[in-house]
Amino acid sequence: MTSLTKDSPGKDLGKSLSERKALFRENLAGYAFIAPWLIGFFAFSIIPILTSLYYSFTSYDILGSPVLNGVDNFKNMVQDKLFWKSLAVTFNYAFISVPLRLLFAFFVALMFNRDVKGIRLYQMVYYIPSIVGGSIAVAVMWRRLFMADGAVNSVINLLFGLDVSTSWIGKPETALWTLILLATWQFGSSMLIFLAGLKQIPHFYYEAADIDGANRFRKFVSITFPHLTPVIFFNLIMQIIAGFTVFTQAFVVSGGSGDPLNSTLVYALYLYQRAFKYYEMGYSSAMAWVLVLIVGLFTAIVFKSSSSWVYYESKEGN
Amino acid sequence: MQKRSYRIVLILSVVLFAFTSQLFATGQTEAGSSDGPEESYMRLAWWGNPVRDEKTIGVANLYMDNNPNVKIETETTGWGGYWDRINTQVASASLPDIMQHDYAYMLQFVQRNILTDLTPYVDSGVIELGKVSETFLSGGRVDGKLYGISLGTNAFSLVYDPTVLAAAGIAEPDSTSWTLKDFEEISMEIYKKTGKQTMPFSTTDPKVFFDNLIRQTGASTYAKDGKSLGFTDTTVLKEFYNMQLRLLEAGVLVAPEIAFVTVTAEEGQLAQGNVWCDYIWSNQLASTQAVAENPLKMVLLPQIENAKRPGTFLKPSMFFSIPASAENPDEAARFLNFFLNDGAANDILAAERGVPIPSDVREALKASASDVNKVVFDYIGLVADNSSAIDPPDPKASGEFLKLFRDTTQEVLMGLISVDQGVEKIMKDGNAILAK
Amino acid sequence: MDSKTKKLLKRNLSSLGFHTAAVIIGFLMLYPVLWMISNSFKTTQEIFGQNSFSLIPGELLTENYTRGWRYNGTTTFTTFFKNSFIYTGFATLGAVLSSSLIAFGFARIRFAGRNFWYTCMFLTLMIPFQVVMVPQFIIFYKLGWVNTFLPLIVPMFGGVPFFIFLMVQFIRQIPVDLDNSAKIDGCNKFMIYSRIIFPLIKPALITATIFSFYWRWDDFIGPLLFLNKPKLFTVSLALRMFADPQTSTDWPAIFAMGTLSLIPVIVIFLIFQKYIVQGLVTTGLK
Repeated sequence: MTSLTKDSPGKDLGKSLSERKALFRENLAGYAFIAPWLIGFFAFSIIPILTSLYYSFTSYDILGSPVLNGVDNFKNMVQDKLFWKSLAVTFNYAFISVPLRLLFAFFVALMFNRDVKGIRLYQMVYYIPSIVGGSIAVAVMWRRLFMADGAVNSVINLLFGLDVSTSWIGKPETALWTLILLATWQFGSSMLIFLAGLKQIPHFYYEAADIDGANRFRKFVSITFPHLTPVIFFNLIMQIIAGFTVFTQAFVVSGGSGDPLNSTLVYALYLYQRAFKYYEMGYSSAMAWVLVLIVGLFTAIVFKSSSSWVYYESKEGN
Repeated sequence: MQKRSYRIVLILSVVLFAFTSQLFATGQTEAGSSDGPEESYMRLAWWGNPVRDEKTIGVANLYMDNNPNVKIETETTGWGGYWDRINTQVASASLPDIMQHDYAYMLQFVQRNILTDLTPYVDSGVIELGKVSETFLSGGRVDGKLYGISLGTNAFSLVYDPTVLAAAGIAEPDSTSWTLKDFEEISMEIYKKTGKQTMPFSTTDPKVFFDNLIRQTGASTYAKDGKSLGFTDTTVLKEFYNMQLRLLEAGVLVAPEIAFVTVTAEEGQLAQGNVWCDYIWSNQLASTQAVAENPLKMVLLPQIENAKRPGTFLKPSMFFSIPASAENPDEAARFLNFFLNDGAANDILAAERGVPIPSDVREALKASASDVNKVVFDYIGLVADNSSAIDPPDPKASGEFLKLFRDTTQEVLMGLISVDQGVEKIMKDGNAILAK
Repeated sequence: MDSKTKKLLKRNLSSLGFHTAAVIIGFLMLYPVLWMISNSFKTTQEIFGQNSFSLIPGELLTENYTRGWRYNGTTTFTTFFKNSFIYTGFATLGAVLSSSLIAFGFARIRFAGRNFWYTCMFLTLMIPFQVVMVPQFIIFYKLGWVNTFLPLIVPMFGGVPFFIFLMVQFIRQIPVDLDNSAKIDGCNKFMIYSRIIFPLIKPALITATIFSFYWRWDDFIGPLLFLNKPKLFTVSLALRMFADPQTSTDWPAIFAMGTLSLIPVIVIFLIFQKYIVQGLVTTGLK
């Protein structure tokens, strides 16, 4: 699915002894470098992952022992209205918040990628919302902003002389938008990655372009953008995964309930409720694996497409 | 350039290794503490906030002063995290020796044999219950066995601001006689005269309010075995919705878009001075009063027509339970007894978990209680004389049912579905959920 | 006006426009945070009352800080900050160093099974933590690591998929010619990693450090599950303990301690930010 190379290096038929030796050394070096990850994976991840896969075919209430029940969990999912609801909420959230966040992060990073006085302060200011993250203070703050008598309505009424008293977080039609806004507001981490990516572009490209008399747009199209594609690709993949598995913001803002009327009941939140509120870990695990399939599919599509638009300086390892 | 990167790493490492000693020091005290042969070691877990933590740790310290061979390790979190942690500990068989428990989760733990029956400790006198009336204990019983001892008694109530009623020229409601109809009239009248609105019926968990009404008919929300709903006559359920809709129509009821947003007590409509009453558990009065403008009063919920029995009941606010896997259950039981009956311990605790259940402790504390706590003590006294027995602990599917009930209530009040549709949904889907 | 002054004026105007926009949007971005800080000096009534949006507290109530810091009297925020620094420091060091090693392996060495393991790494990213939480806890419990920082720190030395992927992307931006010429000069793989790649992906390393520090500092569920004793609590865990739905909540103290808990994250950002801003000195390239 996710691939770094197209051809497998393992095919060594008909190669000479010294070539095989070199290949063996290469394999050895590779495994030596990824050893920390492999050890961690086998020690701490593989068992929990396989266990959760096993749970998904059981009825397991955490307090007792899991009992195999075949594909019942998956069958029940089809009937479960809230399952579909949470899926819809998550798709809405992901499809709107991911592009918004990326666009904001991208353009602000471009704007701040200059050598101006005070630029570091700006960068910090725009990054700070991302570090208040999931604290309970955020929940209170968000309510104070979007309640019927909240700051947002006050500002609207003051600016436009209206008398708006919508409870933005209490209305099922608007509540998810406040969550999307919260996600967009916290674009700082993607921004930092874009900034780091911009800094990675070697200066001499621009110097050469200056000599050729290229204008700013020209430089952006032929230098900045192509060199940034690996980072854009990275942010896109990570935001897709983060968008579909969003939990903390939704949990904090609705106090874990998905209020109002499940309009902010994102998939991971529903899955959490099933596991720890209703004691249905089996069902919850089954849901988790459905999510893995969905996210995996989107990730795979983006990975497949990457060969046609992501530009790497080094086409191939070694 | 290369050098600079290394320097960052170097500085980081030095700072970090300065902490290393600390890290391993923590590990070592650990090993040493549980070694001594005579030492009795136990783990005590509860949920709460720093105020409760301070009081509870105070009692643990007092107990350790009295019993120098005992070492109590305290483990605490807030409510939300508590159950995530406890559930994980159940799965890994690492529960503490004594844990705070909640009525909502009691049955599931008992059915899985996770908790110890405390009856032997009561019989042998380790846990002294001579001063405790059975009404306070029954909440902790399942099939005649005692799985938890109430740390405080709680009852559902209607809390109101008497100055609002005075301003509207309305007599204060009488707990023992006022009816749902009176409630509706009072709400309308207050709105007309003062503009103060009325809260929808217990928005955090509308089932609690409904439960009180359905119990007055002699039925209950869940059937005895918890496998279906405990009522078939939907008159009360319909009226539960119709009355709120009538109030909403008249502008008296707080809009559901506002009322159903989960908020802290400080942000609540009562604290903001927008409503004349709210519906709370008695142990929430302290936090409600702390942010209210005027001294609040508590009354029983109003009566339905032809009520067969009082709907209100005494409920343990929380229990102490001893897990079956406890390594030191005997010490845990002795500590529980101390926590429950000891005068000095209860002076520290100051009824923060609710009204204590032994009558002597209750009397002693009442004398020195704060004004707010006096209101609560009096209310519990009132309920004791005007209550019916508590229903069995919530069935396993109750979590899902409560969500259904709350969602449906919102849909009805927001006008997304009709009352009949809402009632049908609760009866049909509710039974299906419980039968699972 | 000659073209030179025109140009200068144009530049000044565009600079003014840039700063105006940046400041106005910046204020909107920052308002909620400023509000939080201002709340740390207010009374509960002020925070939730009619004038709650104001950024200026009635009077500076510094006792919110002393009361919050005191926590429950037995354990104070001194302990929590110390614990947070230990946990966050070690975890970040482990996460960043290991991730760079692993990323080099994935990006620069063609070994059998590489794609398979890379896919596995993404799988660990996609599976919701809620369903692996219980089995993972059991492993650490069996290892006897509960109530130590080990379950929070040791796994970080296995690298963090987010950082590994990030660094792979950055390493692939570095021409392979560099590796090859180093190889001719007699460098082995580890020397290529430590002397060439590691310094060249500095922006990624710095970004990873900033993120890792914040994520670990803010982590709540890990400390909640593995640290039961108050003397082992981290700042983020202690902060959540203030709020209890059944009893009254000391909001001013929450905001006060919440404000303090932001400081280390901001300081780390400021320390490392300059390495992002400076960017690469690219003389070593090509």
